[in-house]
Amino acid sequence: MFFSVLLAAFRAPADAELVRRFKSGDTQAFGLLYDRYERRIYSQCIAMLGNAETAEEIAQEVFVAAYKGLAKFRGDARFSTWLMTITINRCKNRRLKAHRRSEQRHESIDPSPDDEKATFQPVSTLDAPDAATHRRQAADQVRAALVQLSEEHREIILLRDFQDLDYPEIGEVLGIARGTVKSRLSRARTELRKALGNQKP
Amino acid sequence: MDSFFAIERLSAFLDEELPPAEMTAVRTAIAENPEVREAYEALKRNRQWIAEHIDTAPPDTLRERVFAELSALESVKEHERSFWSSLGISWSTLRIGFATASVALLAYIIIVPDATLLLYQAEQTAEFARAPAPETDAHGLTKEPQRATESPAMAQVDRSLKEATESETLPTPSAEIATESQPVPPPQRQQTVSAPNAAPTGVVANAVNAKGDAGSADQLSGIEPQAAAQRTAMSATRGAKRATANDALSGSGGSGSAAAISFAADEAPPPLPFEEPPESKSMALGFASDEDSTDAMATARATSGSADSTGATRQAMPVLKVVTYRVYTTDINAVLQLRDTVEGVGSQLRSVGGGSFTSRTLSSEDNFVRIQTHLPTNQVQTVLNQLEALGATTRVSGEYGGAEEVQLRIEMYYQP
Repeated sequence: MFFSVLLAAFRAPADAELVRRFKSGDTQAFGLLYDRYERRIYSQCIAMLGNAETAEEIAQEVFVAAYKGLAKFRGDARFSTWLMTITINRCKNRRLKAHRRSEQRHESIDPSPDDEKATFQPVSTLDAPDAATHRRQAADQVRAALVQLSEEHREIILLRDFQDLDYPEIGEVLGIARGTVKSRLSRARTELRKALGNQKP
Repeated sequence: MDSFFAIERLSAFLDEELPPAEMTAVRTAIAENPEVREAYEALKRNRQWIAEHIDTAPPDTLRERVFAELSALESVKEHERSFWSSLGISWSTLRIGFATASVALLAYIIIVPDATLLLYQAEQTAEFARAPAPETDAHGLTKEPQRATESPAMAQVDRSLKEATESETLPTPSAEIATESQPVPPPQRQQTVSAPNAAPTGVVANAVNAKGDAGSADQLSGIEPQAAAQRTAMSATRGAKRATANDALSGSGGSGSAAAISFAADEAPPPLPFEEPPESKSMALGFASDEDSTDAMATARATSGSADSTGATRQAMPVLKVVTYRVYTTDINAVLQLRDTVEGVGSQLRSVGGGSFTSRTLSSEDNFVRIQTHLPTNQVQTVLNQLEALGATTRVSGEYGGAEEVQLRIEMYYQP
């Protein structure tokens, strides 16, 4: 089992190879890229936006935009970084639009923790009932804490701790310097620590 | 451990983004200091929670929705490709074609308005240069070539003028013009430039100001016959400034009529459908500025080959000075009268000492007339004095920088 997974990992074409195949006309290559990043993109969207429906809509927009723009992708950055840039920008635009709409209606756009509980779903339903319940509660606590962060801090924590991008890649996605990444991430972590308090998911 | 910098270093240590020396120092601090260790553990724990609990399975419908949209996108592209390929045009060729057409259209929009005027002027200059030297009659006047497309009214005016010139008793062409023109309101503001006592035969008084958006409305107003001299006066008045620029160019004395063409100040003029060239001055029949003259001289030098690329001038070649007047009008009758009187002036200039004189006639289909004469420098001031005596606004410094002769141009543009 382990060896088969390892073998599959070795056999799996790299992102750059799939991009090259797509550019040469192999549209199936995009399917492989989609499968590779679907979960990460959707998770990022739902963590950023706090609403499953909106997250699904934005994730769809991200992949369609990537499909349209992949022919022009020069490969200066990694495909994952490029895709994450699209995702972050789409999420920001959506929040901006929602913010404008809410300003007109004098409403708040920040998702409340109750909304988070209603929209977030467990990672896996194959676990034992107790374990699943526990995981759901833990996920709810983390997401509720994330919701309390500013958008700027939320996105940088997600990029580093969830997407596992390094500092230069984060800087590329957000358009900020490496030193700014370092300081902003430190502040975001401090803020998250306060938001979580003594909770122990 | 609340120091921000300590937390920042711990955070960077957690991400392994510190230099090796700092990594070692922080590692030591974590091992030795319980407070630092506790802060580091909290950061590490939070990071792990994020990594574990943010991961969310997407709904099954997401993939279907994405690929349904991509299929639709592909089908649209395929349809476009098949349509153009059925016409024998590849998609890439089509895109190149569209891009080229867009660039061409943009260039057309940007360049052509200026280029049209330049082309037109170049064409007129070429025709003017090709035109044979005008014949002169017994009175020294330039004979006008037969116009191909001449209206009966214009022909009548010309016949009358010709007969009058020959008999030295000029009728009043203005009267004939008045009969065919529409009823004209009385002039509201009019400035007539009178010839001096020794009135020359031809007087051109032009005052057309086409600069700015105010423009001028012209109207043909009262025409009074006078036995002593033929006077033609056009005055232009700017709307708000009431600035009337008028210049007069007088010719030899003789009998004729006086026609006054005035531009109402209080009526909104129709905008001239052509643009005043940027180099032209707003003064009508005004002398070009020194800069213009210098430029023209430089052009003349360049065309005559009297200067090399380093600017060294070969003094062997005569230096030509070009002075150009420009007049814009929308009244064909005014242009016809100007033409007639300008030709009279031309003959006068020639009698003063012009080396050559050519003019181009004007018809209803021709919106351009140019009178051109070459004058020895020592005769230019004579002409200028006459102009000033007629009230012309002259701005020539009087120094011609060693020019041996001056080319005098008067261009009249007419746009119906």
